[in-house]
Amino acid sequence: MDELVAGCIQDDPRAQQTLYERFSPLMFAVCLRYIKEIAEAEDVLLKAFMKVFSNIRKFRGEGSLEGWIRRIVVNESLMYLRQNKGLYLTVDVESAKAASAVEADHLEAADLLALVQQLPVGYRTVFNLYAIEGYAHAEIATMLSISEGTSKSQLSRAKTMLRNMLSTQNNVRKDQIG
Amino acid sequence: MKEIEKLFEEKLKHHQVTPPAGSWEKLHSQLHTPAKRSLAFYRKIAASVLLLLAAAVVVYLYLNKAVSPVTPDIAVKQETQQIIPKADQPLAEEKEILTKLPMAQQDQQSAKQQAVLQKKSAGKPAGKTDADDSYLVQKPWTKVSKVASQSFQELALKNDAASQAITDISPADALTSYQPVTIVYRDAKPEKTFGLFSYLKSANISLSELRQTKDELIDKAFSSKSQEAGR
Repeated sequence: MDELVAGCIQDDPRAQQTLYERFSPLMFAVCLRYIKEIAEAEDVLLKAFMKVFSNIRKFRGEGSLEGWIRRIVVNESLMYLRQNKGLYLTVDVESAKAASAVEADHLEAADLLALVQQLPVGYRTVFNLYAIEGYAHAEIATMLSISEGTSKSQLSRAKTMLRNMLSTQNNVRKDQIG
Repeated sequence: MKEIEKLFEEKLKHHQVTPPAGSWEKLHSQLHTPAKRSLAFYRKIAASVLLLLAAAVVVYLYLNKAVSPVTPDIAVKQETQQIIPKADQPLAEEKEILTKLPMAQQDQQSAKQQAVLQKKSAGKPAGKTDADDSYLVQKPWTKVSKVASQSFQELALKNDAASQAITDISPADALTSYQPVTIVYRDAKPEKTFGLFSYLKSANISLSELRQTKDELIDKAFSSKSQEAGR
């Protein structure tokens, strides 16, 4: 792994490609949690990796390389949302639609991702940062320049919505099984 | 039902989605296009060219100024101030003669002539700035006596003392009595504007140092921008 980083520092295309191929699937999934449009998510992913490669000499090996890249990708995604989506103004609650009829425990990651993507952008962002990336409310508040209270309320609304979606799906499934 | 955050975290944290085909190629071409690199590169070139141009202009002005006839004025003004008092005080003998004659005013007049004469000779060396050049210039008193002696001849019969003065200094003598005089151009050096090169010389700054400093400045000026561009 150190060799890979060293290669990237020297602008070696092979090392860069190896690094990209190792981490891009993970990071693309991150992007998709924040940005559901595939083309936009890809753009953000590429921009984030540009930053990874141009700043890789600043990676000092504190923490994992994956965590370092992930932070860059999350930041890039937030930047995209801020610029394009009017991120923190969304209050309207879309009605939950059943993506697929599967019970929660059996839900595949892809199905959960689809559910997350149905959340309004504000809920989704806070939920991603808190539940999946593991940031604290205080950190989220700083990152999004919102208050801690807003962060908490967005999270609880996101959870409520997800619960509703899951129960709807379960109901649909039960109906189908009948 | 499980705590909903846990459920999503477990399933999504390490979830992987392969990016669309060809995404590496896109990234690769963005990473290695010369365009991005050449932006900073061309900026550097442009800055260097501008700097060279500026230097050329300075050199041009410096050379031009050195040749131009305007600068000597500074030197001459100070020079005449130094010389006139000398002309006002001729040798003691001469003073005696002149005060006895009605031609005493000639003293002042000739001093002016003397100044003019020196102005002419001062015009030449203006390009040179140093103090050691010497030029052939009439001594003030010889000029005075030459002017005086011409009128003395008319008065010669009336005044014995005057006739004696004529024998002392004949017109022929006056004409041949040129002597070297050292003129010191104290403040004839060009003004501050053109001190750059002499400053560099005196401060022992080499051109390579100058170039290095220039590069550093350019780097500083553009480093923030290139970081922006890097995002």
